[in-house]
Amino acid sequence: QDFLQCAVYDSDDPSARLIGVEYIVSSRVFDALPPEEQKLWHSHAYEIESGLWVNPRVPEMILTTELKDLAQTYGKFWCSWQVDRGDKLPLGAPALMMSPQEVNIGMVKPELVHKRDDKYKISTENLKNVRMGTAVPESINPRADLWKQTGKGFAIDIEQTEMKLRAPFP
Amino acid sequence: MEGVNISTHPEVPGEPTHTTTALLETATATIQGFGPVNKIHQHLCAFHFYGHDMTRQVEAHHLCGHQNEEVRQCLIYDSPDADARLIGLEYIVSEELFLTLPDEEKRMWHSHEYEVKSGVLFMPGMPGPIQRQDLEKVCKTYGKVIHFWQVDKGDNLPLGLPHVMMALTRDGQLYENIAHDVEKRFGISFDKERENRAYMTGPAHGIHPLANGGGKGLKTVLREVDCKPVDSVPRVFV
Repeated sequence: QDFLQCAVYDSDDPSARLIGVEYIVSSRVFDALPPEEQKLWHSHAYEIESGLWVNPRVPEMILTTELKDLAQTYGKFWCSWQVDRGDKLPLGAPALMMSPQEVNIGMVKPELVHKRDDKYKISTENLKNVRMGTAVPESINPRADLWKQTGKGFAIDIEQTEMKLRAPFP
Repeated sequence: MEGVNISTHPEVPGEPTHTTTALLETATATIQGFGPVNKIHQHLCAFHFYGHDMTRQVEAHHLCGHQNEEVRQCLIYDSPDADARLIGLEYIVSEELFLTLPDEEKRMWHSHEYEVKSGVLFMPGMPGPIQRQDLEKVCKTYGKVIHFWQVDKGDNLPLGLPHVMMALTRDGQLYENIAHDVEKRFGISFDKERENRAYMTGPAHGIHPLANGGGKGLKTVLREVDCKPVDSVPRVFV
């Protein structure tokens, strides 16, 4: 009930590329994490409220309770294939992803939303209205979405080092 | 010295799934398609160790699907059971594609020749001859593995940074007790399978010197970066 693990793809077609993994935890679990860990996570409330988060093809009615719970959760999402960069193969170090938030650099490009809406025949505007006030979390831990406060994000570098061995390598 | 056996793992924190949640999930599972997941057609079991530390070894259950003849993508779990933890991902590419990668990228990839030929990489439950039909191809490929959850450390949540993992490349690296435990649980013998796989060949051009970390260890480091300036995103959100 408090933990979800998600394989993330760039589409829902069978040919979709596996682009990363997201873990989702309840606020109860998140609040107990050390700050050093919390800074790698993002909140979900805004995405759900604004209709950016959808469960394709599932009638909105049956989702209400679920979305209320999910609005209280936090996610940690590592992207291993930067398809938006045009990479034909998964290159580079994994990238830490953040969720859309209600500040300018946290906004999603309108074209992306339109494309999504067209594909699934939904209206983000409608969803926003339907969901208004129904999925509001009691509070959002300020240690998530840290970039909103600091203006800084996190990148991962892969560095060479001495490997601890127990036999010759390679 | 023994490797850590993680078959008794600490519980992921949280309440058991409510009936209402389970029912909802049953409903949504019938309405929604799971296209990409339905492409998964193969279960491979192998071992990974941390890119900076060979002494920390993890049993890795790969659920794999083909993107095309030359590219596979795999979800990695710590066991084949329903409550298994999703601990990482692996991408597998043909030798031809591997050779097109930039040199710095090649370091993050590992060769599969030893794992396949030694028998330690196997498909649980599959008869030998059928396994071998595919594994003779896998033998020539390269893989890139990233793990997100340090289950061998006893973490009950995916904490910390991701790790680039490496694979076995010669005898003497894999802990005996881990090997025997897997052989026992799956009713197989690595040595026996090694004999059956002796005919297989690895990459046509030999194992690339930059693969497998280029012989060095790899570690992941977190770096703080400035967010890109506001002007890069339209101010008005529809």
